[in-house]
Amino acid sequence: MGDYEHLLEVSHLKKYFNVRAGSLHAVDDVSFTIDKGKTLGVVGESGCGKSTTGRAILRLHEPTSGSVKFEGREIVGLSKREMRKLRAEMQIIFQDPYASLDPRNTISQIIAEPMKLSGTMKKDEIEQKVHDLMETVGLAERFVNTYPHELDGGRRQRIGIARALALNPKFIVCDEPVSALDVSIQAQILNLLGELQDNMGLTYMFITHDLAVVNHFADDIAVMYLGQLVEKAPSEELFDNPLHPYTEALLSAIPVPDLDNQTKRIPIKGEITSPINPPDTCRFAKRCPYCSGQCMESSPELVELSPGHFVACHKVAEEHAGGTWKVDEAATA
Amino acid sequence: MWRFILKRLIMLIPVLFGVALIVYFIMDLTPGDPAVIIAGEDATPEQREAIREELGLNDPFIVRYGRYMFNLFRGDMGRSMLSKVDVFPTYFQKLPASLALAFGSIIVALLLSIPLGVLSATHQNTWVDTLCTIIGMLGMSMPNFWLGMMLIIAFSNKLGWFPSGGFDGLKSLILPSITEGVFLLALIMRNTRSSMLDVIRQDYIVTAKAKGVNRRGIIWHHAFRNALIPIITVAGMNFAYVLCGPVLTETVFSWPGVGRLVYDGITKTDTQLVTGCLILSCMFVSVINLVVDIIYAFVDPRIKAQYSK
Repeated sequence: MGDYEHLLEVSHLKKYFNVRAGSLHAVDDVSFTIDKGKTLGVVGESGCGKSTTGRAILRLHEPTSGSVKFEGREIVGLSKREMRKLRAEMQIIFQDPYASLDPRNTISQIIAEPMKLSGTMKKDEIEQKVHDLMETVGLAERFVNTYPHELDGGRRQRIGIARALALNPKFIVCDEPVSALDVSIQAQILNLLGELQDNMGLTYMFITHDLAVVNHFADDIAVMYLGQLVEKAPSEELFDNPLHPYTEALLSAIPVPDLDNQTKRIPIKGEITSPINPPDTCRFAKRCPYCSGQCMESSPELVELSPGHFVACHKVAEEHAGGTWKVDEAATA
Repeated sequence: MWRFILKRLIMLIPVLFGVALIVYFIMDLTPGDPAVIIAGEDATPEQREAIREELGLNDPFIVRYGRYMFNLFRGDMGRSMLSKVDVFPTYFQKLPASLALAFGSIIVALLLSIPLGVLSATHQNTWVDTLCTIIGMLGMSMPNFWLGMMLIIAFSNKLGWFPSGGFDGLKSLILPSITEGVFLLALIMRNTRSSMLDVIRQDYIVTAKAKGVNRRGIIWHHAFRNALIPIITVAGMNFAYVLCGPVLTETVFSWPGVGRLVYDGITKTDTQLVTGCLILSCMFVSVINLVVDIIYAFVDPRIKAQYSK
């Protein structure tokens, strides 16, 4: 598949939805890369466009513009037929294991469907593979002919994973794969995903709103706010040295199980900027404690301040350049 | 599953009891004296009184109802007050025509409504969808006696392709089936559309897309199969309706069906006939509902699981 630097390279990806009130900027100029075998955690609040980003990368939502390169190959603009072939390599695990499995198909039908569609495997091979996959994800063989509604959430999510693995993909978008599950089951599924990554060399884009989950799981973390990437850094770096005011506030909200050593919570106040026809300002400005006139004038660029640490904030950039920052509360009024 | 069916069949008995009581009571309240109709306008009061006495009309309601139910349990639905023919065979003599019309119209409706409904859901808010909506509006709002007459004028009087009335083989079935089927077509099409739109937004449709299933597979294998339940419900309900009472269509086509039999009975205050026919019709409606419930189980494994509980 030729030479390529990153397994996945997303640049200037945009996804706008036309709604009655105008154009909803769900994903607005997002760029990042993921290297082979690594996990990128994508965090952000509900509605910030993280799921849409994942789906636009797989072209489950057609991107409005931008480029997605997989193994160096541009996939935006591929025909539907070529895209269907490529789906073998790029898969997704959905958030809700109750809604994402066709209720009319049995477990074996669900897992076998991608293999049948590929047309390259014989019937007994498929049967064997279904059996193997069920074993891989820890589903007992007796479930082979049951229907999804007969199983609990954790087992259903295992089906979702087995199904995604059916054609030996290289890259998987995990779209909040554990947020609909009980905490005890969450750990099982996360461990399973981790083992699979180690054994099969998988690359993940791990979408979640749970920072504690990504901290354990991701190599890099990208923070999204209202359709834009506001900060991206290696996990440890992000947790030790968050730069963007939004990231700071998010991290301060993680509960610390130590009464003597509590973090000071930074509450996020103020009005959320509407994602419909958003103004060309910093989108976090209205809720940012450090907001100043500059923030209301232009949208900050994502810049690399230290190796691997990207941030999009006027204040951080100014301070990094040695300047001083004046908070001007009147700016948002 | 078998236990479910048996349970439902047993439940039919109290239902029919209730139906019999209500129907008998309502027929008792309807104005008009059967004796006058039977004896004619010129009869003397004595003659009428004699007829009332003979038919037992002078007894209190509870006595008449008791007698009726007693006979019903012996399989005797009484005789028509006017024609003096037993109700039971009269009904079953009319049933084949009604069944033929019910099947005919539901086939016409399903053949067109499902493709059109799916098409308009998959092309939501395009001209295809608008066209289907217009067809649906027309089909639902067009009075079917008018449509029937237009069809007779065009295909029977002018072109001479089909007979204008009566039940005589497949050819005679076509025009009434279309007349009755157009309304059903519109109704089922709208139901198919909304049900498909519901399903298409489900996550498992995105899953299918992510698996690389092509458009046709997504629409028919994953979406349509899951959209079937409301479609079956509407189709079943309306099958029962056509079986029991499309009086207008039956009248336009001189169709020897159950609807007209009951209608004639009502206009002539033939209490015995109407009561018997309504009880039988209710029984058929109940059986059709049961059949629909059984079909659910084959369509949706979740419902099947509920039945087995």
